[in-house]
Amino acid sequence: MTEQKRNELFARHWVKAQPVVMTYLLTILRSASDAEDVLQSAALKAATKIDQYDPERPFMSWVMAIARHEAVDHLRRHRRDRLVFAPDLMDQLAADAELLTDQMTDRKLALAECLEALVDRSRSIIAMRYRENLSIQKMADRLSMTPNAIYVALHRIRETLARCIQDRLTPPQEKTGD
Amino acid sequence: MIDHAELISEYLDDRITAARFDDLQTVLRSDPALRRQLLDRAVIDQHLREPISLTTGSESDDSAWWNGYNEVDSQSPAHHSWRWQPVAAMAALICLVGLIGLITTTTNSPQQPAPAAVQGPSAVALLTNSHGAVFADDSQPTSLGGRLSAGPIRLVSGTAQVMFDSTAVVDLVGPCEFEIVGPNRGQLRHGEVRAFVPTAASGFTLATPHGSIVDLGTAFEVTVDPPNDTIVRVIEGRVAVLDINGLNRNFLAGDEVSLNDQGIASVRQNLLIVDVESNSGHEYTIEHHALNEDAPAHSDRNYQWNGLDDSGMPAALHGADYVRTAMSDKNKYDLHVTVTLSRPARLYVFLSDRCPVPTWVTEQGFVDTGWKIGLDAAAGGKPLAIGPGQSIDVPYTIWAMNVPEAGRVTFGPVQAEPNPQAGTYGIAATPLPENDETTGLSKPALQPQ
Repeated sequence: MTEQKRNELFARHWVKAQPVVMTYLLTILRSASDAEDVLQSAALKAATKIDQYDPERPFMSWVMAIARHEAVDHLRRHRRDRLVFAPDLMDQLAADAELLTDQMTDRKLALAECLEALVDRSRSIIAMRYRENLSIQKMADRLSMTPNAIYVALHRIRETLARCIQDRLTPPQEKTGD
Repeated sequence: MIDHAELISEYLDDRITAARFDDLQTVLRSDPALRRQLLDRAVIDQHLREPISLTTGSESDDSAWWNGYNEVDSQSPAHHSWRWQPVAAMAALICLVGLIGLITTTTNSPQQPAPAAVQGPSAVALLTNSHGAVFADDSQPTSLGGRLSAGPIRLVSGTAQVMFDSTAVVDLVGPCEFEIVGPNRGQLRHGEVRAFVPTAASGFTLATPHGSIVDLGTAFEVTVDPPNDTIVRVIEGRVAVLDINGLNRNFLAGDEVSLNDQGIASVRQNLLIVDVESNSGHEYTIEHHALNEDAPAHSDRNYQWNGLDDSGMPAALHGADYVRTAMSDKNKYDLHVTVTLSRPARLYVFLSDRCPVPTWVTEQGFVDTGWKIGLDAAAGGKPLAIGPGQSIDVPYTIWAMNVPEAGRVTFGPVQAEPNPQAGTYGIAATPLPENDETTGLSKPALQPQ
């Protein structure tokens, strides 16, 4: 394979794979900054090893294996105190995450619509958590609520969003049973 | 009975106990639907963390609730659509190009079979990103990762990013009519593009109705407004410009060239601030050699910069390049504004005396010069005054740092907490005097390109 072909191959596949790999890393690492670090190192590793990739096999499985390896390595080096999924469950989740590949864009668009449908207070809570990156304690102080109440509120809002997204992605005939 | 959704929340929020974690692992192993529920929740978390803005129709919307979420959005959601910010995507793309550059420099080229998903024989580029892109026709693939053949791309609105097989990246800004000519060559018939050309793609050529630009490394921006002119702005590195008469001249970062059907019409050189980007939906514009009394301060307000008193603004600032920032971003708590400097500079930020100094200012290396500048905001319905010391509504303190080499510097948010008195900062730059050791300004934290 020429250098140019190799570059094309990686770029074409990575554009599609990156969001799913990020979802998987967030699932097993939980920390967004850790997930971003590992995503970068996985991308680097995949780019430098692209010669070893067999184009007859799914790129996503190949790159997910790299990401999983990088995540485990990251956890070993940085996060000894954390509760970490067992290896067999990490493998199961990697396989499940691959099934999301063709849905990421639709999910993103559905989330945008569902965010708009939230009541103002719920949107404020989500914005504090995800845009301002406020700690739970700071959110509690600002909203005159207990930290536990903030956790509960966030949980409910995210569940609302999850249901809304699912609703928007489900074809009408499946919803009604017609 | 265990509430599985609550268990997942506890896990992702990092507050789960060891016993509950064991419960979660047990049920996840046996329940594919729950594993899917966990992944779905992670997708939501992931997308909520990404920059999103709210737009109305084709133009940016000041009421984006991310920016002012404590205010009730008075506009009908039915007219809104969400879009992901180009800045993040561009960063991802630059990262990707960097990776490809890495492959180029660190691996050999063993012969292997071509990938199974083979494209047409004339495919020479890849659609690597798009944001709200509306294409005039479907002559080219419009999905991410789609292979693009030689031929026209007519972008009605939004942005689209094309990576040529050479690894040159062109960011198309709609409305725009662009043509892919070959693996390292394009043509801009109308509109605006930005080209980012890594070393591997040096020689990337962009033709326009008024001439051609050959990139000799890094980045440039081109605007074509037929039948009038072509404007070329060199952001980094060096380009060769060939005009309609066949005259070939080289230009460097900081140069702006205007071409028309007669040849090179004008050249402005040594522009200091050559690019400004932000994660705002509002406009940030560069004014070259233009900071003087009564200079427009913001892109979205009719306010002016003036000296605080009759002595005028500090003499060092006269004629400086500056950025008209967006006052509407004063409550945008994740604001990032990045300026690209074509050469060493003294960079200034004007901070309102009505709000605390953001922590990033000193962390970046800015120091308080003790100088002041005033904002004439036409408060209380009074008209804008002319000249220094007249009708100043808000004093601003001028902070500065020396930037010893060309590159990018990023400014943070105006404030971290709500403060209705706040005002978006101003940004200015002047050339850094050679061998300047008298300022006492500390070395800046520079983000080299």
